[in-house]
Amino acid sequence: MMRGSLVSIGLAFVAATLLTVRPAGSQTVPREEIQMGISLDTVEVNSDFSGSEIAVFGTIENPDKLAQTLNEYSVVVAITGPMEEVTVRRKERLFGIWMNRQSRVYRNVPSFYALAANRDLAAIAPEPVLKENAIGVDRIPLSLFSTGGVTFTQPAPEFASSLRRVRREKRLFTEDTSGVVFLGSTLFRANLRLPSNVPIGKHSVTAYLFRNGEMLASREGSFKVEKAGFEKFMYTLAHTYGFWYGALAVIAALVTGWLASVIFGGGRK
Amino acid sequence: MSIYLPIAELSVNVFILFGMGVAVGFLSGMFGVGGGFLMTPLLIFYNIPPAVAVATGANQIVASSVSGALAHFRCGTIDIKLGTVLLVGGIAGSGLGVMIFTILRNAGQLDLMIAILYVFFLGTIGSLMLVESLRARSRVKAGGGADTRRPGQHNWVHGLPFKMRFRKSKLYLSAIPVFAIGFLVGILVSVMGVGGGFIMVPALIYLLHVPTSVVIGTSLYQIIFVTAFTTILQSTTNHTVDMVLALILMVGGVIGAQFGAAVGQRLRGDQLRALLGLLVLSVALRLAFDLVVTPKDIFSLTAILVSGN
Repeated sequence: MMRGSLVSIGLAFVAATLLTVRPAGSQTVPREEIQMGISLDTVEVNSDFSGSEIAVFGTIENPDKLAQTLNEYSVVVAITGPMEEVTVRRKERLFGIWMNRQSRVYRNVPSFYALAANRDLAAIAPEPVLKENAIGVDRIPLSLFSTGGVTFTQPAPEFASSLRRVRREKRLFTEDTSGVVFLGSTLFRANLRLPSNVPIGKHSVTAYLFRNGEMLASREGSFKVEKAGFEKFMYTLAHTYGFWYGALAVIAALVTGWLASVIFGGGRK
Repeated sequence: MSIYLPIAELSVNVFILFGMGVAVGFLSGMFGVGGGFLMTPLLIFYNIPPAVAVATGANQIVASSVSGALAHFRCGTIDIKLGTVLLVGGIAGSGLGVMIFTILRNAGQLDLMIAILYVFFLGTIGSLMLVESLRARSRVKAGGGADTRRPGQHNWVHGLPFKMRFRKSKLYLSAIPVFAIGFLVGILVSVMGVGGGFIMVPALIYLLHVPTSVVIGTSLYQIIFVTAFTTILQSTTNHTVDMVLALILMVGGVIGAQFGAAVGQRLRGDQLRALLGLLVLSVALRLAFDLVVTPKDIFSLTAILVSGN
């Protein structure tokens, strides 16, 4: 309902602008900007968390009427999760047994990447532009671990491509080229799915505005994914106070064992 | 009903885990074994990360050995002195084991090592049990006695120094082999997530000639301390003990053990050993199969969060 009426308002707006179209360039046109808002500040992961959906709303400011009419604007929204150091290992057969042999370590790999756009990336901008802005799963920069500018291992493209593939399979790297929908001529909404295994931490959200293969503007925001309640307590306890966590685990086991012997022990000789 | 495990960091079905606890508890009650050697592989088959499965296994064994040891304590079938020497060795071994565990984990070889150790130990023990029980069976059929114990016989173990008197076991022998057995089993506790009873019991009987009546109680007694120590050490260094997972397994395990014990009393000793041997062998074969068969994906990822995020 809501969307339908917005679209019809948009169509009416477009029709009106078509009738009053003026030649451009006769005055200084203000630059296009993009604005956005995220539906959630914090996503809480609790014991029955099965994933979540995040919506990003935004508008194009100072749009060019002609570009609007010709549907030339493209919007890309990308979520990038906390950075990780990822070791990719490859199994090889040795004495008949499959074991990890070669490995590569990649630095600053996003733990999560979800992209939504209103059309195919290839139709939005040429490859160099997409690459420069690291847009798309295949363009996430993967640099081998190095110290003081010296990389110790030979580059091996199959390790990088396997990293992308494994993360895609786990739904940690996703692309949805119909995830951005224009609700009016300048108002858009992006729906992005957070899977149940979404990494904990701060996720940044970037919205990009493209026209004719050029990036005009971008805007950044962020949201947090946090463990909630009991899970948060246990995780923090285990990682911050490992000894006490272990002691608690032992006490829980001793009590369970003792209780079992009290409850069932009486009946048995 | 699915539940999120805070340390394993994945959602699992509570009833499946509880059922696994009951099933392993049933078998351990029936055969009088700890069940860690069944629990850890089962958890791994259920996609729990091996590092978490092993460390959590140690925690779960604390519970099952406490209820067993209490029963033996009431019957007076624990040699506390012998058990204490064993557990001193066990704690030292467990410390070394956790170090080995950490090194293997960082090198990406932990899963492989766990699988190889399981295949080796379960394969050996399973075959020995099966062969021994079949022999005992044919002896019984032939009319001979089933008892193979030869009391009074000494071997090289009894020539070692640092002799101690273990009154309950009616033994006078060196502390060195006792400590060594405890030490070796301690390593296995932390690397494999087992109680180690399946090594400890035959070692005490065949190497040290400890009377069968006190072997199980003494083994259980020292397992409590070694697995408790391992749990704390794993929690402190590797943060891989999942208490939620452990509690589900414990509760299932102690309940299953009651029914298993009742069934076990109706079966003959050699039948039990033959069945257990078969079970142990099949777990070993399944793990061996996974090592040899071409994996679904030869690439695997391990990620560490970059600090400062």
